[in-house]
Amino acid sequence: MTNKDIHSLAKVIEKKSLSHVNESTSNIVIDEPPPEMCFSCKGTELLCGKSRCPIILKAESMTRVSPTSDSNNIAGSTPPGIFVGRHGYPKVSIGPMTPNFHGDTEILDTPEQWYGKSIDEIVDYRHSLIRGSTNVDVKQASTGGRLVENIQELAMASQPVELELKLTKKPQNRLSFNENSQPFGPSAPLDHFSTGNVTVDQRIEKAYYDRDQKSANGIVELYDKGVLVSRIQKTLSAGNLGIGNNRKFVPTRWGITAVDDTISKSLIEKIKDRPTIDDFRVYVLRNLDNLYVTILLPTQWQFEWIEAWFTNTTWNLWGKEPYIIGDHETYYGRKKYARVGGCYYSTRLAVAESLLSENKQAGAILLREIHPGYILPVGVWNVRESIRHQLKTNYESFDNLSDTLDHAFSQLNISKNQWLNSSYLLNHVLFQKRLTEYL
Amino acid sequence: MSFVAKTKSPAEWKLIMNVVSTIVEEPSFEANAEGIQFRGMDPSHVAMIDLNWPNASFEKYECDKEFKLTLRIEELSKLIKRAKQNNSISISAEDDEYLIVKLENGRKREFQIRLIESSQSPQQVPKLALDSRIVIDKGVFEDTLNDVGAVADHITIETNNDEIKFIGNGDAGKAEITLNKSDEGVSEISSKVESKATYSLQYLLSILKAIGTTAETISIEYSNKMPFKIEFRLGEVGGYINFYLAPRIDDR
Repeated sequence: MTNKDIHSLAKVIEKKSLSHVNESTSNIVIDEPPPEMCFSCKGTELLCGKSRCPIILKAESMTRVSPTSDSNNIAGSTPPGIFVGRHGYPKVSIGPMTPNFHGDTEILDTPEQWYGKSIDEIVDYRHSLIRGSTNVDVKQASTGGRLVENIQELAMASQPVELELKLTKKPQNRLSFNENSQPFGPSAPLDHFSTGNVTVDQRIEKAYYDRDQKSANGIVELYDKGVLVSRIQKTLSAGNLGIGNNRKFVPTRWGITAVDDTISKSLIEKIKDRPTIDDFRVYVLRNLDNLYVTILLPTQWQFEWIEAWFTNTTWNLWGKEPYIIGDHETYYGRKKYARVGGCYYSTRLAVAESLLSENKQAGAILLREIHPGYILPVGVWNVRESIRHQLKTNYESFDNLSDTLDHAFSQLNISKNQWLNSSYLLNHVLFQKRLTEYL
Repeated sequence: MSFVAKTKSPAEWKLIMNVVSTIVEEPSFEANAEGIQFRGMDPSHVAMIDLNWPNASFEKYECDKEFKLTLRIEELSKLIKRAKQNNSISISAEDDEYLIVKLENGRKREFQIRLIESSQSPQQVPKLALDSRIVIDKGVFEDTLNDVGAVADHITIETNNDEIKFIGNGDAGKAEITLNKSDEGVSEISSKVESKATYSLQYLLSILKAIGTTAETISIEYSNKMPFKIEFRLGEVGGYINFYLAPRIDDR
């Protein structure tokens, strides 16, 4: 980091938080030339319209949690964490991740434990993991080799593992002035790494040794045995599942959605045999300045997820009105990948899981408003865990559709008509007649 | 006590599998001395299929008591797909445990699939006296639906005595397709009163896709804010498949 960079940072965050940062030891690199707007604003005027400056948030988090040592050697307890990149697929970067401290670090890479944490804490978790990366072809997951096997073993760990990373240079923490990027910890090319004793999760180990099982079946079996979704995602990404010779590393981001999709499909097949719920329900939850309203209908399984990005939020910086986008499926499911992306599958999992635990099926319409206080996208786990949590809370129960919708829309800022313009299922339940009315 | 129904080719069975699977996963077919019937609604009670396949349609047909044959359509469909164009298909049952499928006229192939318990109660057909009737080439109708589908999820159909309009309104824009009695592919447009109603394209497109190329012309009937009915023939001797679809009424 140059003195100029430190000087720039000193303008936007408190000087005392920079007291231990100096030119030779800091590993913070300013990634992109700061846009003029940000520098004339310096976080004081919030010209971008967000309720807090995301760049300052990330800068503060980096100075708070990032290691400032100038060493190429990092030692700590890995949660366990591994990362598989998607750029350059099928040649991707993979590697272990660890903080530079020891202890029970599990929470750092376990989103199931993040519900209720502040955005600052979540960004801290992300920033504290240092990644050593090396390039492989995804197919190397089936051909092995020492490095590959070590990463695969690490991904099976049931508890944090002592890890030493030897990097080819000092890890760099990129402070991206693209204010919409997800926070990531520092990284550097990996020379090699070594681990202490790894206690493996026997459920995952069994799936690893079953080289005749398709990965989809492996995913569902692990879920049925109670393995956390985030651990199954890691298992898939590490190439620890599937028919032996076909195993591949799966980019973390793809693996997350593949697992949400696969598990929710299997749950949906089960709930389709169950009786429908007896009432109309509205669940409301606010988390990280997102507002979630979930409507459950006493119908056969159908599902819709719609999100409304308010102006001044990540995916709608310059719009004049909220940007609304959604997708749905009927009883028979959907074939095309949802336009809204991975959050569709994460929330479908949360809903299907809740219905199955009640032994019921229902139609589900989920409406999400993203308000300007959600200053950074933190990942699809956020919606999965929020909806899981929401469906465990109290709900308002109704005996007819009209009262249900009146209550649901009274909780939301966007009008009923705007939602109706974007929603397939709302239109369907409101206006589609049934043949039973004509018998 | 047995039921046997043999057809010269797999074509009708393939059609039935395609059509029925658009609305139910576990259909119950009824077989009796008159022939095979099926009646079922989709889980949301929006669409219905009413099918009658009389005994005279078959090369061989025997049924000495009533059989209720409930099965997972995916499983039967897989077997029917194994048949080649020139294979004859014989479907039989002796009890309510198994359905036996024989593919003949070539290597002798025999399959058994397990029958399951029926979860559906008997269905009635909607009682309808519909005002407008159109007889049209299946291809022309499907094309028109796809035109409207390019901009909308729903189709509004407006008929007066000489012409019929298909209208779609979506986020992106509008579509309007007009057909006259004189247009190629249109055999009949008749309307007791001007009729206008709106239907879900998703259901219509999936049923037309399932019909495939087996029907050349289809007849359509509907009325103001009433269900829509498509009728097409099954075989040459009085068999039919009727498809019913409830309307969408936006009374905002």
